[in-house]
Amino acid sequence: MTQLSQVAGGRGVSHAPPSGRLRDRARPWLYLAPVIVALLVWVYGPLVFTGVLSFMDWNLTAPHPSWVGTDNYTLLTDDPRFGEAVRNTLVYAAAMLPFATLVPMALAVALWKRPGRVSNVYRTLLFLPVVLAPVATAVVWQFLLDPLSGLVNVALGWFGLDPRNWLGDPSSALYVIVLITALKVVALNTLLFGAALATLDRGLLEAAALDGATEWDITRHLVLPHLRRALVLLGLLSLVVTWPWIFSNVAVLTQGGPDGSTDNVYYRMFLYAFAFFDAGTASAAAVVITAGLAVVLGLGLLLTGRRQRVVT
Amino acid sequence: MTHIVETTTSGRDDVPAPIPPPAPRPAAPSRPEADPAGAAPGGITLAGVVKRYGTHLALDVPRLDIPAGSFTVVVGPSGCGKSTGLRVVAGLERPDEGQVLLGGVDVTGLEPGQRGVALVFQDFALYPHMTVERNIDFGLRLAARHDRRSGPSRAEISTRVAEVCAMLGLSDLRRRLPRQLSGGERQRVGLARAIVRRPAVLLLDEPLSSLDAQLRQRARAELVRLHRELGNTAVLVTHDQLEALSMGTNLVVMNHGRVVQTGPPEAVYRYPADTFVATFLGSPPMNLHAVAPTGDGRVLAGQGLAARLPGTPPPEPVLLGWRPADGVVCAPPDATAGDDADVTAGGNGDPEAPAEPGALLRGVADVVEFTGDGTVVTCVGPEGGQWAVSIRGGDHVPAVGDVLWVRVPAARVHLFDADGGRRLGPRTGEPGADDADRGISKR
Repeated sequence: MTQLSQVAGGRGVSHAPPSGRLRDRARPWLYLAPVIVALLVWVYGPLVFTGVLSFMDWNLTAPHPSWVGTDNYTLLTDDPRFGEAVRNTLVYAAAMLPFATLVPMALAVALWKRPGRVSNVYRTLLFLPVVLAPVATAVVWQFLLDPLSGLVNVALGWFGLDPRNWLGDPSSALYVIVLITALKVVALNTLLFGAALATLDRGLLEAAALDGATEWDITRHLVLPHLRRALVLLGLLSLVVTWPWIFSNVAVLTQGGPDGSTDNVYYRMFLYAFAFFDAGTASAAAVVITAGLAVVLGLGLLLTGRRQRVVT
Repeated sequence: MTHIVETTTSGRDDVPAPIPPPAPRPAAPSRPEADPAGAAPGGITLAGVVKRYGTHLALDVPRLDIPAGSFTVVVGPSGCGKSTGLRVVAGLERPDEGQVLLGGVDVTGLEPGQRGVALVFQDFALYPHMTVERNIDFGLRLAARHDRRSGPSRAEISTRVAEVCAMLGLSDLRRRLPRQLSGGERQRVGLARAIVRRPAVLLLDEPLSSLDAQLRQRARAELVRLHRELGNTAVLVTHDQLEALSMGTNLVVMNHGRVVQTGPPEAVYRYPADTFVATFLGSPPMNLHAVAPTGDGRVLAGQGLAARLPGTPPPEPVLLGWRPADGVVCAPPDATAGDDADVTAGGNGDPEAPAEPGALLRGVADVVEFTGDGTVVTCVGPEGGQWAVSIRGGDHVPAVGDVLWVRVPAARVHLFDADGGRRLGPRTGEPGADDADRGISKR
């Protein structure tokens, strides 16, 4: 506190040579301090702590965790359910990718091409699911997908289709989770693509029309190139940000089942930590996930960055 | 050049009528082939074109012909409908009524790309992610792709792009992106993109307004030279009256969505159809005075002004106009001169009717502006009316507060209707009124 008042008072006499120099140098750090402290306490501290914990055995209640070396990692690689979770995670990511990129991009372009009140209303309706509480929507889906009385099966019955236990069938459960999560991802990314499109000068469309471009030519040669950066960014981002939504749907609707078919590394990590109270293995899983993501994102950025340079 | 006779000044008095008085209208719009100006390839005809935005009437042109091969400048204040007109011709806006004919062919329903017109945008609208070369050949490559048989071949595209780049000095910039170019270079790329398709009609929407003053002067000359080389029809829209007068072979003046006057720039400048054209073109603008006939009716008098004009003056009050450059500072006339002297006009020092035809004014110099080639003196009349007179360099420049007497030759006096502001009759300022006095050419 004394330091703060000193700095505040020192502002007027910053020309005073000896001690003023030091104060000037300290000032930016002082301004940065709140954020740095928060980051250290909430982000980097836990990150290091997780790294350390992944080499320990701790059941969250024992007073002293014990050092076990790389045992937690061997346990992970030996656990067939973790292997399955990794495979499922890749399927999730692959199945989610079009809903994070192509589908919202097509929607955003369609909405942008026909601006007006209808398009604004539609955009609002589309975005509504994003602001709903994840667990609440998951519960609603539980009712809708109920094998006996759920609206989905009832509606399918009107078209003469047999009812199915959508979440109870290992062959469909994962894709159902992807689809209902995709509703939010599509809505959010449509908005983001729309923001990217807002920076595209509509005058260019008129220039292209005079150049004899058809609607498709305009989309292909003007709109899509303009959206390329957003496309890459949102594609990569979807690998990171969709997991909380997937997680809440899995936790509420299937708990990883049936038969582990909707399990994924995030849900498995949660199970290690809060079902088996095995903080060490959970931390090891977290480290593996972080490392995997770092590699994928790094490669993605490297590739797109290089392509960017070639073009210019 | 075919002179456009049919203007729409008549629209002013009969706004509710959708179609102006039928009297001198040429063939019905449905048979445009009858019109020689519009039928030549590259000629543009607007027939009964109306465009509204909501209730706002943006464009109302009963008939406008733009001759093929002309460099037509469309000028008017902002919001006068000139850009809307250009966009209607380009096909970027659909008119609510009427037809657009290019070379005698009705193109009203055609897409912009099918009309054989090119447009240079005010902000150039270059494709930001394409190189200069790609920007220029975009339309040609699309044409090649859409129509593999009769579209241009790859070799033809590259020769045409090279040709245009050489013509506009872009050859060294072909691999650059638009953001790496200066304003003038971007403007040339926009031009190159427009002319590489060899359009019969080249439309330019204020292409010079985003350039700085020095560059604009050069670009003006370049555009005129380019039009001479291409020989197609060029239509340039501007709000700059200097561009309007200096660049075109044909001038179209617009106001409130209507065409007010058309013709060669010199004719429009010298015989403005109404007070709007008179004050819009020329800098400083034409002086206007309210005058009324006095005495025997051969003398027009107003505040600090008296004029004797050849022919019979109108019986009712009119507006008298003269260009600042047409006034000549003269010595104060001594006492009452001339046989028709009317003392009532000179109550508070007002000038009395001059003996010879012309107008005589008296004012007090209020603002003296040095413009380089000369000086513009803004004077205040006896009851507050303001007018300006240009004094050529070398002549005596009055000081602020000096009393100034200015004489305007009768041939340079314009008379306008006091109500509508429309030019009055085949009188002063008309061709043949005073041939000896017609030494001046374009200003």
